[in-house]
This record gives sequence, C-alpha cells and structure tokens, in this order.
Amino acid sequence: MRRTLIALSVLLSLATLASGGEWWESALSVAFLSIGVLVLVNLYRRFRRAAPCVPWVCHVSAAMAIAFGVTYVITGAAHSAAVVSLALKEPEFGPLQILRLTTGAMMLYAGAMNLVLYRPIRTGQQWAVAVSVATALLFWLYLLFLLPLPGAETVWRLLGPWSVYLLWLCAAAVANRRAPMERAPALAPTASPSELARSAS
Amino acid sequence: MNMDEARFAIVLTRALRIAGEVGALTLVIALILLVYRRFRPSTGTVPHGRQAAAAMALILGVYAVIGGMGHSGAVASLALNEPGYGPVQILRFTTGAMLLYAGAMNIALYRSIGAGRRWAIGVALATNLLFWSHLFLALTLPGTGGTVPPPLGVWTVYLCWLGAAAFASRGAQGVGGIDRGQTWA
Repeated sequence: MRRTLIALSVLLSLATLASGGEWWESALSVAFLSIGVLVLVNLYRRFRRAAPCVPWVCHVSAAMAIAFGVTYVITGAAHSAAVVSLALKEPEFGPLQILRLTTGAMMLYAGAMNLVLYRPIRTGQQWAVAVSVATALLFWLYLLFLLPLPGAETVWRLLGPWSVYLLWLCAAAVANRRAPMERAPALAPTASPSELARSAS
Repeated sequence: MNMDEARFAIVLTRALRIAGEVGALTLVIALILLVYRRFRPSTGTVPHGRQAAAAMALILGVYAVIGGMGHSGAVASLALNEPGYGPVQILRFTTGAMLLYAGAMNIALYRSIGAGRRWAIGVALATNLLFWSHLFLALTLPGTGGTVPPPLGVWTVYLCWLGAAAFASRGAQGVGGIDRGQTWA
C-alpha cells in the first residue's frame, strides 16, 4: 500500500509539473514542491514519534493538511484581496466576478478547515478524516468545473496536489476502518458536555 | 388578451408564487418545530438553542440534499443543451455542489449539534457560512428569477441559531472542543 500510494503521488506530481507553462513557472513549481516535500517529511517524522499507534497514513494526511491549510489560507486571503480590488475597478459585476470571489472564499474555507482538522486527523479520528475528505472533494470538484474555462491554466497546478491529498485522505479513512481497535478508545468523540455532567452526577 | 387581462395574469402569477413560498416556509417551520419537540425530551439538560439548531440542521440538510440533486441534474441537462461553457454554467454547477455539500454536512452533524459538541457547531458554522457567502454573491446576479432571497433568508436564520448554540456551548469549555487535541471521554 505504501509503495502504491507514493508512486501514485509522484506520478500525479510529475503530471502537474509537466502541465505546460513558461520555464520559470516550472522551475518555481519544482522548487515549491521540493520545499513542500521536505516540510511534509519533517512533520510526518514528528507526528510518527508522538503517536506510533496511529496508522502512518493519518500522519502523512495530517502533515499534508497543515501544509495545504497554511498555503491556502495565505493564498486565499491574497486572492480575495486581489479580486475585490479588481471588482471595485471594473465597471460591471457579473458571473466572472462572482466566480473569482467564490474561488477566494473556497480557498480560505478549504485552508481553514485543513488547519482546524489536522490535530484530529493526526490522532486518527474517523470523523475528522471524513469531514476533510468532504471538504477536499468540494474544492476538487470546484477546480474540475473551472478547468474548461479559457485562461484557467493555473487550475492544473492546483488540481494535481489536491488529487494527491484526496488520495491520502481516502487511504487514511481505509486504514482507520481496518484498525479501529489499535487506538486508544479515549480518542473517539464519545461524550458531550451534558452527557459527561449527567454521568458525573 | 387586452391590457387588463395581462395585468391580472401578472398579478395572479406573483400571488401564486408568493403563496407557494409562504406555504413552503410554513412547512419548513412546522417540520423544524416537530423535530425540535421530538429532540427535546431525550436530552433535557442541553440548552434549547442547540436542539433548535439541530432540528434546523436536519430539516435544512434534507432540503439542501434533495434540492442539490434536483439542481445538479437540471443544470447538467441545461449545460449539455447550451452551446458554450462559461462562468454562468460553472456557477450553476457550484451552486449544486454547495447545496449537496452543505446538506450532507448538516445531516451528518445534526446529532452532534443536538448533543452540544463544540466541534460540530464550529464545523456547521463554517460550512453554512460558506454556503451563505455563495448565496450572497449570487444575489447580485441577474437572471436568478428571485430564487436566491428565500434560501438566503432561511440560511441567515439558521446561522443565527448556530451562533446562539456556539455561544451557549462556551460554558462547557475544554470538554467538547477539538482544539489542543485533547481526549473526549
């Protein structure tokens, strides 16, 4: 499973890098990807040391969630600011402007959800993996809808990494289902405050 | 058809549409009240704001999932018949996907919202805020035929209830949150 996942990730990353564009764009993408892989490996090793009983794919997914979360919160804020200033200068407000603003909101939402959810993903909580899969799938679908739009060459560079992330999240969900008993039972969200208060009384 | 008949037809169409919207809203409110009353006796110690939010999550979730499937099917068939593919078509598909996503998340989370779990209320707030933002942006779009304001109003009310539920759950700090990766039981 490990080899298949890594091979698929490498293939998708290479396909993303080979999606065309100027030479300096490809060089920047390679540099960004290398830094991203280094950060992911570093985070994965830290998570692995902290909780070795949790499936390793959850640690990879959590590391990717942090990297994606930080990247997309920053780029989403920048994109939103840019399109708001552009919309204020343009004479009319139509579907294209709404689409740009929606892209910014989606990026911010996906980034923020990943940042919030990386801790429960790291501890192998199934609900967090499921919410992350749903969020990533929504953003991935949105990118897919954008793909046929003229001038959407940058979408390819986003679609590849999100496909890799979705792949790892699905693998984490499968691994969690296969080995639910290996984790400590206290990690699952079992009791609400009211239930706790009732059981205490 | 003379001018009076044409005017009468327009007024009748508007009146029927308003009556339909009022009827649908009444049905939604009645369903929410019904579900709320069913939830209430089971967990009496939980504040009523959370249970109202949970009832709204269930009803609006079912409504959004059914509406999302219908909308997606309709816009897919429309896109196949139209000659071009542009921002309008993408926005329509996005609306369908957002309806399905928000609906599915609300259905998945309503139990946890009713039990007063902070992570569930937080996730529901974020999800519905995204959908609300999309509806708000779509409000200015010409050609929506006045279909955006009713769901926008309903989702504004739901967001208010979720905000109240989040505020009510602040008292139980450190037990129901997902922050700091603490244990749950």
